[in-house]
Amino acid sequence: MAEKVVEIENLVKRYKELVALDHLNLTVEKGEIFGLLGPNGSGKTTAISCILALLNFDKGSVKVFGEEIQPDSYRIKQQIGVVLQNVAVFEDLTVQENIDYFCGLYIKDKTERKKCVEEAITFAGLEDFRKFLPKKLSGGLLRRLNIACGIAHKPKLIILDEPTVAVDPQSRNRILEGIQKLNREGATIIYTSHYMEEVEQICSRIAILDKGRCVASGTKEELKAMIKTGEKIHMEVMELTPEQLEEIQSLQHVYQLTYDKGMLEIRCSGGKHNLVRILDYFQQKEISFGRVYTELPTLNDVFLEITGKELRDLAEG
Amino acid sequence: MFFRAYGYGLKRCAREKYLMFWNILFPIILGTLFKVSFGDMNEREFMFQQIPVAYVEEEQSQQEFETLLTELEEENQLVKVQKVSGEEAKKLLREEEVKGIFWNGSSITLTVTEEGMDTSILKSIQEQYEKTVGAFSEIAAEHPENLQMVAGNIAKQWNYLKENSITNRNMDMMSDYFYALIAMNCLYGCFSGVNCAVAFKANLSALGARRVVASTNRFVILLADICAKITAQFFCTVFGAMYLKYALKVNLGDETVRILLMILIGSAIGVMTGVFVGSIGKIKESVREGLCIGVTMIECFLAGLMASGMYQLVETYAPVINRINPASLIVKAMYSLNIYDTYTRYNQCMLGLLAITVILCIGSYLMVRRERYASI
Amino acid sequence: MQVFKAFFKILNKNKTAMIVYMVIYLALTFVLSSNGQKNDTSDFSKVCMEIGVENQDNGKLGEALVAYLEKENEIKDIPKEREDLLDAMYYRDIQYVLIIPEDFTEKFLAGEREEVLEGTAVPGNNTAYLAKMEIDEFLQKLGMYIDGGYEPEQAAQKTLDNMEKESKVEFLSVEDSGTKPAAAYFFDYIPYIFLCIMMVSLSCVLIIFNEKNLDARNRCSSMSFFQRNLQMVLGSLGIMLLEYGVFMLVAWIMYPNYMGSFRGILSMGNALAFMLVCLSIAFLAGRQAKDDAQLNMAANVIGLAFSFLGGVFVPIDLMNKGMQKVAKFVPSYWYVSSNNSIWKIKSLSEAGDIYRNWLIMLAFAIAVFAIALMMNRLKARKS
Repeated sequence: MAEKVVEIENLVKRYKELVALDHLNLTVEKGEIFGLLGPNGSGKTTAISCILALLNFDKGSVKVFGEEIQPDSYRIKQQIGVVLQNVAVFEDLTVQENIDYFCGLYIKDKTERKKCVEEAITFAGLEDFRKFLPKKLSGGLLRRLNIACGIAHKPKLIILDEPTVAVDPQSRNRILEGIQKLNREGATIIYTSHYMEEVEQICSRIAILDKGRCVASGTKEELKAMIKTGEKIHMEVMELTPEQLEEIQSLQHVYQLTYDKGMLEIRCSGGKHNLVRILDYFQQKEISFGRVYTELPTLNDVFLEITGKELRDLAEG
Repeated sequence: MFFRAYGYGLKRCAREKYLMFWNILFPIILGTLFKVSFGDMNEREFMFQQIPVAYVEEEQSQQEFETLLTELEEENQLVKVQKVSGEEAKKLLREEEVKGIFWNGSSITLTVTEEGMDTSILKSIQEQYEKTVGAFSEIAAEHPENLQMVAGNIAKQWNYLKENSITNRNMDMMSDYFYALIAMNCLYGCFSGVNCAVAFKANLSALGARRVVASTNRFVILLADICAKITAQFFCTVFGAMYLKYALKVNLGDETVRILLMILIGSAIGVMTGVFVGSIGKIKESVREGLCIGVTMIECFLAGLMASGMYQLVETYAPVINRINPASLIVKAMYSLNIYDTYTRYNQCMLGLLAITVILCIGSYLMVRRERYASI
Repeated sequence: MQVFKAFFKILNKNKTAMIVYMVIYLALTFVLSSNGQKNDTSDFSKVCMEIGVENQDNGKLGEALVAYLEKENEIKDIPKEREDLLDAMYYRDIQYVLIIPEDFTEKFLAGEREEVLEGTAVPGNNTAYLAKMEIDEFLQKLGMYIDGGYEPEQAAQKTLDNMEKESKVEFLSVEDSGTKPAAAYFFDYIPYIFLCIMMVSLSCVLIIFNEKNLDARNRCSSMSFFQRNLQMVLGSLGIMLLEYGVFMLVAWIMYPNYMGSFRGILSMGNALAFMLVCLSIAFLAGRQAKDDAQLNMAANVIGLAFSFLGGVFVPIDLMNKGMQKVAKFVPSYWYVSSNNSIWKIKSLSEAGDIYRNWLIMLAFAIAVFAIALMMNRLKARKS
């Protein structure tokens, strides 16, 4: 069994009446890129703050590298790199100075630190901006600086809280590739985001939080298997009668049907030969059809199905 | 670790242009203003401005009094006499063109509208004259033979008093203002102190959170930051003091090292006041700054920045305030350095200042020592 | 009226800050005004000093001098140890030290009068000067009587009697006995207080509007530059009236009699006129400032500088002539000038100068507003 890097057991955190974390259980294993998903206010940031010993909590335990983390567990903190949601850099220090400052909070040796800072600058692609003050940087660069500040000391556990908010696709790609690279180099990563594609792209394991609880966790395949939708079949069909639609609906495994402007979307729950069965039906009824393609469910479908589609309150944890 | 954080702290201070700007501008503007307005005023001028006065001659007027007034006007430049009619004099007095009216008749009468410094001077002129005349007439009646000698001796104007000094150092009357200005400049550190504390508390800023989660003891980081702010404030204040000393030629004395030491502690108190206010619970930053400025202003006011003589007043009515008010202690420390040739009183002030610094440090520590927060 | 409404919503959010400012500045007002009162009542001719005297004189004249000084002052023994003496002078237990040498009477009678006494003043203390004057005065008269041929005891007695005489001073109008009403002191320090409070309180709100993104967002809106600024001015005006109201209310509660008289009304008008100037300055500063701390410092520097120059803290006639001319370019000068005459005039018909001062202050306010709007316009163009 792999080494557990983070272990959260029965964590409860209340803000007055609001229960932010409700008996949360999570484990992150070594070498993973662990995705933490959840709507706004579901407790992701709170959970991270607890892992970092920033918040006190009401019940439960948080172990990092096998030890209960305390505010003065500097030996553990040495191994953690954090990139928080809000950009946290000094306005009055340049890019290089900022990275050096934060790196210096972890690494005392001068030459080693210098090397780390250089690597972080290269990592974030900030070579041309060393002498810039943060306010002169564009949104993407600023995020990259924010990340560079968090990971410069080569931590074994990196926690990234929505590091790609408001970042253009180029910057985002660069950031994601960087994260994967860090992972290949041996770092365990906890990653939160609202962007499903990102999580799907890089995370090896995912947990979905809702209302302070972990409602689902596993690899993306496992998650997809959990939901009803097995695959989505799209067909270009002219003129379908309501009776025909009803008949399709009654086919095995079909559970949802939408027909609009000549496009038919059929959602089937898991099972084999869904497409064949439907094509059989069309042939049988001699209905002509154009393009046909199938889609496997995305993480987005998983997410929406598990957490529901209603809008979330805006209170961020 | 400490020194690196300290170095970066300094760098950040140096780049906070606006804060530095006002910090440096403050002593320049106010110092120049003090100097230009009152700087060349020595005691004599302070006491004896030419006072405009109306002079009305009535029947049986005394020639001597007029002579006296002319003398006071021309030689001592004490008064400015307008010789007018009675009606006109009253009109002038009502319109505040003159401060008083001397009626020269069988006796000398003075008419004024209000009590004040000028009035008192006029009154003393009148009294002096009447007393001298009284003495003269007494002598004339009883020992007329000596009248000549008496008159001769009056003209001599003796210096009866030999002025001793408890110190050979000199000090002009305006010094207190400039000392208070230096005190205020030191205490201006409170603004950067507030920033420091706010940036440190994880529940108040993202930067604070990032530093709290680092593997360095956060108090080392905080201390480095505070030291950097104190250093910056120290240099600002020293710059201000140098401006006062070299550009405005204010007499700050020769005890350079001790003055620098005092400015250092003063700056520390300023910054720590800010840190202390910044550490208090969860209040808005603007409230913190408001508190800072309020506290600083009241301290400086009590030390005599706005009204001279305030220190003595406090000393009379509530001496304890003078012992715990950092601004007063700074003013007093400078004062003692320049007046006394021993350092006892200076050392007492410094001890007081140190004690306040320590108390502020402990107070702030007690408030920020909590390591986990209830909410972020 | 969106901007206007937003103004007050933000203000409401910042109400603790506002209350803190109000309390601090009200407290400052009271401390300042009570100080003003004390300063004036301790009138220069009646100051009672603590004089340390050591009388070593073998003759009678020293005693006479001490007896004379004792009438108006407190005579104290001089501590034996030099350090104790220094301490006493440091804490102003003793403000002047007089040593009468043993040969004082001898020398004085012989006509040797130059430097027959030793006096030490606490440096930097002007009251010491008065002690010197009193001694000089006494010795001068004493000298006259001695020279006049009286015996020392007789001369001393005569001198004491002579010094007793008080000359009569008449006041021009009896009803105005020349005492400044307590309320007038309250208004004395208003210029400093108002300027500071306006700057710090307006800044709370204006700075939020200055925030880069919000400012840009506001500028994108369909509201015209003029309208937006007008609403901001109106909002500021609201804050101003609020603060002005609080101060005036306090004045009414403290000094109902004065405030009910026509003088009270004039004082209120004067304060309002100055408040408008403060508003304009605060508006100008608030629209330019980047952060609170900076604005607080600026408020203080400007507030103190204006107040000193305008004669709020130190009477204007103590300044040199050149500065007095410069002072006329500072609005607080006009406020102080009105304020000093309000409690002296007897009816509204005499208030002509006061109205003129109001107009001058108003002109200041308008000029500063114009500059503020111009700078906003330039800023809007530049970015």
